[in-house]
Amino acid sequence: MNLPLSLLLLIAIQPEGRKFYPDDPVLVDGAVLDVPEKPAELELSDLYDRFSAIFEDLGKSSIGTEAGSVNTLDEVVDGDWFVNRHGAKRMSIEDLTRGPNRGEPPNPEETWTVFRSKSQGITPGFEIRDESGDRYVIKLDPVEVPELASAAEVIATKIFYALGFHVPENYIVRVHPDRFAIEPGTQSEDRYGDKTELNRWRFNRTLRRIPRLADGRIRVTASKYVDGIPIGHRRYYETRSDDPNDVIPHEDRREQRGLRLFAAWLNHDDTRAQNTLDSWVEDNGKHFVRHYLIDFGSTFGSGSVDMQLPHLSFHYWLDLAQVKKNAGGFGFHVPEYRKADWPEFPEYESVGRWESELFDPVKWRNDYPNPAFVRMTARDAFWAAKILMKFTREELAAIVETGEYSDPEDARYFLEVLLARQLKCGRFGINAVNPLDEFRIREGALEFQNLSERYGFVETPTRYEIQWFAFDNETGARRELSPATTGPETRSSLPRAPGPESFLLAEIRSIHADYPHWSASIRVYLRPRGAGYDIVGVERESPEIATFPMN
Amino acid sequence: MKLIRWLAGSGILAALVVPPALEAQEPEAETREELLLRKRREKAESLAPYEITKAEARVKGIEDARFPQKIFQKGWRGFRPVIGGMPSGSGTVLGGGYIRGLENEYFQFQANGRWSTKGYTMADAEFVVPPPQIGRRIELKLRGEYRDFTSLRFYGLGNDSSKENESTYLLNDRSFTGYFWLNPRGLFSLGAMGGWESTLTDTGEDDESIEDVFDPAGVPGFQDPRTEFAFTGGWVEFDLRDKWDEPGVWIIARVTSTRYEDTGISLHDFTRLVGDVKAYVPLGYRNRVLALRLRTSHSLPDDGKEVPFYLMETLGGAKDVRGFREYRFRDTRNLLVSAEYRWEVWNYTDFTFFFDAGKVFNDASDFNFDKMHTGYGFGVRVHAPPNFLLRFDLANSTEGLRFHVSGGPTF
Repeated sequence: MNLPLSLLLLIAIQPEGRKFYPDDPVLVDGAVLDVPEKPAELELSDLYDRFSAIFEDLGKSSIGTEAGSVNTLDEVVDGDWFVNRHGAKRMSIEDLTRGPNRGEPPNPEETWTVFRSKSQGITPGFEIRDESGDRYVIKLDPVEVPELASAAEVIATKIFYALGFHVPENYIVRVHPDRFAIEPGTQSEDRYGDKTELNRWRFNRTLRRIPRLADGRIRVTASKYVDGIPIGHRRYYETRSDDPNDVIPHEDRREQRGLRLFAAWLNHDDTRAQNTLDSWVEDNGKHFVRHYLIDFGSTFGSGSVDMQLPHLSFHYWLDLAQVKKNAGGFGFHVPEYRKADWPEFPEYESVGRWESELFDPVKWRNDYPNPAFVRMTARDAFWAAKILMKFTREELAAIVETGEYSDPEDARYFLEVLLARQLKCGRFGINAVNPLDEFRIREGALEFQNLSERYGFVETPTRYEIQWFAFDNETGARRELSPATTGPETRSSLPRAPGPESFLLAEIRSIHADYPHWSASIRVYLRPRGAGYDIVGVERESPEIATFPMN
Repeated sequence: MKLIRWLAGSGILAALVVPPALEAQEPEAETREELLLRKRREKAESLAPYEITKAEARVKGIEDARFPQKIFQKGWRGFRPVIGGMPSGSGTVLGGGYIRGLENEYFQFQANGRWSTKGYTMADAEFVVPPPQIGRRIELKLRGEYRDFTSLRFYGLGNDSSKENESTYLLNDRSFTGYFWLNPRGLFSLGAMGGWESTLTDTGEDDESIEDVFDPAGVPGFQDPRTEFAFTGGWVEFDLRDKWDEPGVWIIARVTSTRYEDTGISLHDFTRLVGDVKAYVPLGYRNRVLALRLRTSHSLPDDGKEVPFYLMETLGGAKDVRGFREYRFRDTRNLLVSAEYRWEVWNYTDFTFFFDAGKVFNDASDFNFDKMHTGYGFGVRVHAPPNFLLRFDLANSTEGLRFHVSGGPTF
C-alpha cells in the first residue's frame, strides 16, 4: 500500500507514534502564511510547455504515490486551491446557476471602454472597463459558429466552480457595438505580435464579421478580472518556489489529479499550464496566492475557435504512440475518434463535437500528458467521482440553461451527453476502489454508504466484513476488540472501548464477486468525545490496480 | 523500494536518520496546523523567484518573436522575403515582396520579384477584394505578371516524345488578368476571368535549344515574333464537400472554358475546355480515403490556326504524372487520371500511395485510356490550418525516380 504523502510528512516530522492531532480532521487550511510581497509574474512558453510534457514526465513522485493535500478523512482541505462546495454540501439551484458570479455582468446599456485589444488572429478579443471600473476580458464566438464557445465557457465555469475550483466570473452578454468606447492610447496587437493604436475604424473591422442578433447586438463572453493581482501561470508540477504556502508538489495535489476526471467529464482538453492563473490576493489583511483555472472555451464540443477537432480528447495533440500506429497501420488502424458518432451538423454546430458513446474516462486525453493527471490514482478518481456524481439531472439542466442556447434542442442534446458522460466517470471512479463513503455515527453505530449501489453501478448486493479494534493514538498500536463479522448491513454497532481515551478503529472490506478489489480495506478511526465519538480519520487501502497511465 | 527511493529523494529519509541530539531543537508540534506552519515557515526561509528555465526562456523568445510569420507573412512594414513561386524545375527560387492589407483591410495588395538559380526572373502584383478570409462569398482579383524563364524544358509534341530529345526554350511573357469569383452559398460557385498577355519565345539558354533538336517549323509558335493574346473565360464549380469532416463521399467538379484571341499576329486563336473532377471516398472511416481525379483539357484551334506550344497542355511534374519530369509530354489535349490512397498519420500529416496515368494527344479520337504513361509512388502531406500544405512525393516511372517537394494540393 502506498501511504499518503501527508502521512509520510507526518512520519518524518513527528518523533513517533501520534497519528491524529487535536485539530484533526482539518477542513480549512488555516495555516496560511502572509506573503507580503507580490510574487513576480510568470509567463510560460506554450510550445515548451507542450513539448516538454510530451517528451518527459516532469513530475518528481513515482507513479502510484498517493496524493497529498488531503486531510485525515482523505478529503481535500478548503484553501487557496480548492473549496469543497457541491461535493460537501448540496448547493441550491440558484447557487449553482450563479456559480462564481458575485455581482452583475457589465451593463450593456452603459459604455464599455476598451483598453486592450487583440485585433485578429485565431481568437480576436479585447479587454474593457465598465462604468463601475470593473475590468473584463471580452471573448467572441467563432465567426461561423454562434454560441459555441460562449455557451461552453459559461457552463464549464459554473460546473468547475461547483466542483470546488477557483474560477473567474464569466457572463454571456448581448451588447451593441456602439456601446464600446476606445480609451485613447489603446494598443491593438495583431497576430504577429505587433502593436498599433486602436481606432474606431480598426475596432469596427474586428467586429464586422461577428454575427449580429436581430437588434444589431452581438453576443460576447465577459470574463471578469479575478480578485487580486494576477501573477501569471503555474505549472502542473513542482511547487511555486516563491510561495511559502505552496509546499505540496502540484502533481501530487489531490484536486489537480482529480481534475483529470472532471476534465474528462467536461471534455476540457485544454488543461494546460497556459490555462491556469495565479493571483496575489488579500483577505483579512493577509496576502497569499490563490490558484485559478481559467479559459474554458475549449470544453464540451467547443474548440474555442471552432468546433472541437475530432481527435482531441482521444489523443494528445502530438501522440507519438498513436502516430506510430497510424503510420505503420497503412490506414487499417482506425483511430477511435474516427469511429465517433458526432451529432448532425450543422444542426448541432453550436454544441460542437460532443458525444458520450465512445467516451471512456480512462482513455480520455487532454492536450498533453499533464504530470498531475498521469499520477491520478484510484483514490483520486474515487474522490473526484463522488463529487461529480452529486450533480442531479435537474441541477445540470439548470446549469446548461445558463449557456443560453437559442435552440432548445441544442440544450437538450448537450444535457443528455453531459449526463451520460457523468455516469461513465462516476462508474469508473467509484468502482475503482472499495466504494464506501459518508461514514457517520448514529445511534451507537457506525453507518456508511455504498456509493456504487446508490448510483446503480453494481448489479448485485455487496456484503461487508467489519472488524473493530481499539486504537492507541500515541503509539499506533491496535488491539482486536471483536472478531470480523460479515453481512449485508451498512452499519455496525460500536464496541465497548477499553478506556475513555481509547480510539476505535473499524476495518471494513466490501465483498463482491464482480469487484474483488473492493476487499481493499477502509479504516475508519473514531476519537472519543464526551460520551460519544467523532470520526477523525478514513484511510483507504489502495487497490491492486491503483494507477491509470496515460501512455 | 519505491518508497525508500522516494523518501531518499525527498530528503525525508535524511531527516529520519539525523541523530536525535541534533534534531530535538524544536518541541513537538501539538496541532496539525502547527505542523503545516512549520513546513511553510521552513520554505519561507528559502524562497526563490518562480521562473522559467533558460531553455524555456529561449523557446519563449522565439515563440514571442514569431519570426517565421513576421518575416515571411507580414515582413518589415510589408516588405518581406519570398521563397518559391515559380514552376517546378526552376531551381531554388528566392526574392522579395511587399504586402499590404494582411489584417482588417478591405483589400489585399502584394507585389513580388523572384529570381531562380536557373536564371529565371518573375515579377507579379496582385490586388484582391476582399482579402482572403474565412467565409467570404465573393472575390475580385486583379493580377499582373512578368516572367522571363530562360530554359524551360521541351521534349517535342505528342504522346511519344522521347526523353532523349530534351531541349530548352526561353519564354518571356507579361500578362494582366482580372478574376471574379462568386460563391452565392452552398454547393456551387461561378467564376469569370479576362485578360491580356504578350508572349515571346526564343532560344533556350541551358543545354540544347529547341532548334538544336527539332525542326522549329514543327513547333507552333516558336518562330513567331512577340505576339499578344486577349483571353476571356469562365468556370462553374460544384463542391460537394462538407466542412465538418463527415464520412461521406466528397466531390468537386469544375468545368472551365477559355477563349484565346491572338491579337498580335492572328495565328493562334483557340478555345480551351477543361473538365476536372475530384472525388474523395472514405474507405469505411475517414482516416483512410481514396482520392480520385480525372482531368482532361482540350484546346480547339480555329480553322487555320494553331495552338502555340507554350500554351499547350503538358504532363509531368509535381502536379500530375509525378514519375516524369515537368513538361515531359505536351500537346493540344491531355487526359489525366490519378488515384491516391491516403491515410491519416497525425492531425497534421497524411501518408499516401499514389498512381498517376496520363497522356497527351492532338486528335479527339485519341481521347481514350490507351497508351497512358504511368507512374506510382509514396508521398507525405504536411498540412496545417487554415491552408498550409507541403507535399513530398517520391515517384517512379519508366523514366526513373523523381522526388518532388511542393506546396498546395495536387487534388
